[in-house]
Amino acid sequence: MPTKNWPHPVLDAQTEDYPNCAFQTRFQVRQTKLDYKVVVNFDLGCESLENAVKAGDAQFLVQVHCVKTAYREIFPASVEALEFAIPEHELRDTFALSPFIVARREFDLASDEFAATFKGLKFKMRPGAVLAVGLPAEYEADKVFDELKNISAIFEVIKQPDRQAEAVEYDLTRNKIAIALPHAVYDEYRIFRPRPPYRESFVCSLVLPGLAAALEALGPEDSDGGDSLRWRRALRRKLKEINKSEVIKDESYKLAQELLEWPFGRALQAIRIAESEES
Amino acid sequence: MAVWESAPGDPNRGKRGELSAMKLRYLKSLALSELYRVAQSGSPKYTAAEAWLDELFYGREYLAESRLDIGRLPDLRQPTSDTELFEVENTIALHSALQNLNRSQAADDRLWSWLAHGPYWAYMRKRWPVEGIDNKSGYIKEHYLLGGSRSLVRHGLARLWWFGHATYMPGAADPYALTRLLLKTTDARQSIMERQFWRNQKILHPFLRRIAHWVDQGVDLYVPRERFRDLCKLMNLTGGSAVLDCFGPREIAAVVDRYAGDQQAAAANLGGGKVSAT
Repeated sequence: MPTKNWPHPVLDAQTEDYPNCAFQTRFQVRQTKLDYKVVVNFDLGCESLENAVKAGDAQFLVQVHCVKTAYREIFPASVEALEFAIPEHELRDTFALSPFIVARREFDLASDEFAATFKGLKFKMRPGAVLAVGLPAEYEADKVFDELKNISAIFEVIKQPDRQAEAVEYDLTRNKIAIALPHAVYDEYRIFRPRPPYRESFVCSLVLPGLAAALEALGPEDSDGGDSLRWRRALRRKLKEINKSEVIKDESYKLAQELLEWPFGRALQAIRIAESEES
Repeated sequence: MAVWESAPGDPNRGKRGELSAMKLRYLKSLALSELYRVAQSGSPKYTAAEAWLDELFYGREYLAESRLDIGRLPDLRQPTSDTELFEVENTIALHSALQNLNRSQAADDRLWSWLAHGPYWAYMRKRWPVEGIDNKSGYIKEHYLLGGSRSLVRHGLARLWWFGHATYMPGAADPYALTRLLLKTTDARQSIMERQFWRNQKILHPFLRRIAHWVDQGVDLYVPRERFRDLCKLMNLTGGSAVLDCFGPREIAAVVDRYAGDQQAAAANLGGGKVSAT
């Protein structure tokens, strides 16, 4: 969070306006078919702001913001726990929850807990003025619940836009990893893809290299570009499931095989079955 | 839950950009991915006079049908010059017809990309021509596809719907009165829509209403354009130390009043009575 220059003392992690105080928030978000249920617990260690809330001069607040759907709403509370629900259709991709304490009405802000710079000073607060800022949290609003259970769901096979193209290419800039096939290859692929053992072979020949490339491109969790793309979030979650926090470049091919549950073995097994059925 | 709760549509029915449909349709995800790759290449297809999706997806189903019954897609007026863009008329037409979209649907790339490349291809070509643009692929992705975070207000068609959605007043005698205020000048629209506060109608509506109040009083905050920009900057500045969403209509009006008052005073100091006659 960038450091901000407030016109009055604000309790936040970046400033030292209240040197011995703290404001923390714990969020729990649960997705149902109809909505996102949010439970918030504010933990305020600042007597003067606690008193302001008790007196009705200030209130806790969570601002919800979803960039994708332009949803922006606030949920105020006069106590340290807050529950609310946001209809499912209001959010998409990711949304942020930002906790605040704000002035509820006009009042004079003064405190013994101020840093020395502000000792003895009084500040006129107007409704909405920020008094404390907590760390924001970001959540996913994926529309398909079980999508991530199946790694192949983050792939899609498409035709190369250029009819003359002869190479298979991977596009990592979309929500799903796109495998672009040359036109003739694509047409044949569509014929064979549902049938064993070809299906399993396609996982090795098409999906596996793409997944390895995607793992290499994933980078550390706080890398530039963030996890705005669905495949990135899916992989991140999948890696957590197998207790991997980062991908070492040389490991990506092996890791991709692990995530695909060792596709070569499964492909050969499918070939053996097909062979035995033919003989 | 799928965004559209869709059932597969009949891809052979009316794909060639016709302007009537019973159910709202949208591109299948696979088709959209292919379209992105075409856009990425800055394809000359984007200079074609006719829509070309049928050709691109020849023999393949590329559309799905939503459950949203919208009757007939409205005709949009094509610009007749650089200044006659018919933004208000087109915003009202499109938003009225698609009023039942929820936010999630209205943020769906598959819908807007289909409408831009299908039924509204002719409008898009006229309003957002790629000729003379250096970064063609970037321009196409910005105006024909719904990619980046600001795309809601940049996509050639989505933006119209979102202008309408942001300013619509259900139940009002003229529900699009604020739409006219938002779209009164290109600069005013840009100054508002490129900032965050438009996303909350509880901020945007009283803001526009108060501007209208001052215009009625003979203080035109739209002219010159720097004046409107400065007013929006002041809103941003106010939002820097307060959560604007907590403001009631009176507090929002007070911000506009403060600015208009300063403008009046400055004009009076210069010897003029009014800031700018409307």
